[in-house]
Amino acid sequence: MSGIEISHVSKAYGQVAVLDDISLSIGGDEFVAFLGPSGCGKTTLLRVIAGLETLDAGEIRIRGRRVDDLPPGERGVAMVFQNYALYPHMSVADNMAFGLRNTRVARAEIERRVGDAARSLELEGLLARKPGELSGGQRQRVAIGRAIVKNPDLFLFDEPLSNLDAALRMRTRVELAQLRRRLNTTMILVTHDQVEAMTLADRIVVMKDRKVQQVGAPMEIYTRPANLFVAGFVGAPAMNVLPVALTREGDFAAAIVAGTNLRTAIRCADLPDGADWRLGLRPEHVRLTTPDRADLTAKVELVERLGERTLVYARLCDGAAIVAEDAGLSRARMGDEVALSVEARAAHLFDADGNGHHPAEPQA
Amino acid sequence: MSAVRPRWSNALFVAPFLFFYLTLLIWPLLAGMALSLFKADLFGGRAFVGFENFARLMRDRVFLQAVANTFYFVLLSVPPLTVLPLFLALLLNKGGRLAAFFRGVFFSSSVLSVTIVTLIWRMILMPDGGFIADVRALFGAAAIPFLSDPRLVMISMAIITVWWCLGLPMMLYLAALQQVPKDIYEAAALDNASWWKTLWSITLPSLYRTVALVAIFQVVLQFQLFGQPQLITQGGPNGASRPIVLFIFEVGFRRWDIGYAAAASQILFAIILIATVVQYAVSSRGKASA
Repeated sequence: MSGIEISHVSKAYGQVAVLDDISLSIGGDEFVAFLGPSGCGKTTLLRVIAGLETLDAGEIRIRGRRVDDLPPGERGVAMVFQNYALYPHMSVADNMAFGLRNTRVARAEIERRVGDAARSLELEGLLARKPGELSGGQRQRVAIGRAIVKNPDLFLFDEPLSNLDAALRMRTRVELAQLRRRLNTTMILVTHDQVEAMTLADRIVVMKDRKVQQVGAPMEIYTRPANLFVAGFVGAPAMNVLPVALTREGDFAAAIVAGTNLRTAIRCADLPDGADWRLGLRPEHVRLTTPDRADLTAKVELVERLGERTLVYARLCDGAAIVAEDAGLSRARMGDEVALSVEARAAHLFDADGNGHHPAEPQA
Repeated sequence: MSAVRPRWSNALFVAPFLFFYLTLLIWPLLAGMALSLFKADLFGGRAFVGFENFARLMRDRVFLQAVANTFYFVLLSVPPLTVLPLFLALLLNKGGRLAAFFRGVFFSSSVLSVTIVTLIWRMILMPDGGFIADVRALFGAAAIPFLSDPRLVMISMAIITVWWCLGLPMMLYLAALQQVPKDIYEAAALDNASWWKTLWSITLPSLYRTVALVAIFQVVLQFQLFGQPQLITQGGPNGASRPIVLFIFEVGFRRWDIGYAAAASQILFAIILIATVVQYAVSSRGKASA
């Protein structure tokens, strides 16, 4: 069953457009992440769905019911705010029960739901406390509990992890994933953190400049980015993008990088005409190797040792910057001349408009 | 060790404040307390009489009437001065020129001096050619003696005072409303809270401290009622609008009996102090049990 249908939604603040003709369909038990840089419109889209912002054009349906003309409380949505937005003068229990009392749920039922949520979120000992007496992680759980007790058709999370420290963020991410499995309902997460989006979501909606850039499963977004923006935004460190000339090797296109032909797995027949091409290579497809197996050579400018792997920032002989990967115990040092092997079969090509072209078979 | 040892030269930093605080506030306070124990007049004659001035006050029907008048006035003026500005602030807490215009309108009365305020209201309330009397005359109704009926005069004073004083509390409430995070209102909207429910469960608890502040501030202020009755009715008719401060003024500066006036001042001081402490205690207990 369909969860949410968003059709041709637009919104502007005065002259400034913030959402531009957005259409999206989200399944009934799907977890979708809106991913994009600040100002791309992802939070506005979330708030439009919640009813906290009006829309100028378009239509929103939740479980088949048109909601864009309903007040927020009647849309069957629950939202976890970035700053939690707990009621500061109410106890944890009252924070969770407030919405249920307003819809006149029976007292015994309220107590049951609040009790269940408190148990599952480990809030049982804290029910009498005020939000001011809780840690950041506890407040976050109360905010989630307040959403759960309403049994909503749709959960909205507005950057829920951004106020937590690194360790807590990792833990809460796991908890969110477990929550999702348990509740099995529609969830939307807004985030600018691609790791959150990649790890939590069934599908990612990448947004930029008020528009949807690409909608797809996390690995699809990663392996087949629709355009240069998506390619650069998803993945850390970002994909290497090198301006190249193309030539033909059999049925396939080959890119000429620093005088070397790199044969891609992309068929020439699938490419449009044009001269202005860029080659996209993930750092994990450019590895340090021995000189006899080298496709390219480069001079090391910076080495980042991350423990399990090493990132080598280098410059090719034609001056283009490239990031390569090496083992955790890499011997590369700044100033070294290194040999690089390129897994060109996994390479992407981007045309003059920035649109991505990928191998016929996705390279996972 | 030397880093934490007090150095008396550091006292120079607080000395200017301390000088004016002691000479302009604490000394007069103590001098007034001492004065209340003397029979003294403004020309220098003074004799120690112990608590005789206070005993006289307790027997003085004019003073007791002034005390009753003052309490009555505080009861009439403080509740509306605490509640009305709150509703004005709720209505005007939005962007737009109209709201800004009305914020200005409601605050503008606060900048007027008491002389202007009483002039304006005399023109409105006078039975002879006053605004209300004229309007009633159009419908053939008789003028209401707002200022000469002992039952109405304090109510008139309260209306004048509320009109004059509601700008500042309104601004305090507006400032407090701006401090309430917007997202808890959004959370309340998603929680299906009605306008009343939001006011009662979100806004008022968030403004609790400001409400208490305004109430205490107004109690302290309104116990010191003076200018309005002094300028409009001189305490009349028949002492019905004479508050304690006007009594003190008359005794001290018309009858020169400043020892007696000082004693009345001590009683007013005690009343305000007690009222404030009680109110503070009640409001902090309310907060604790909320």
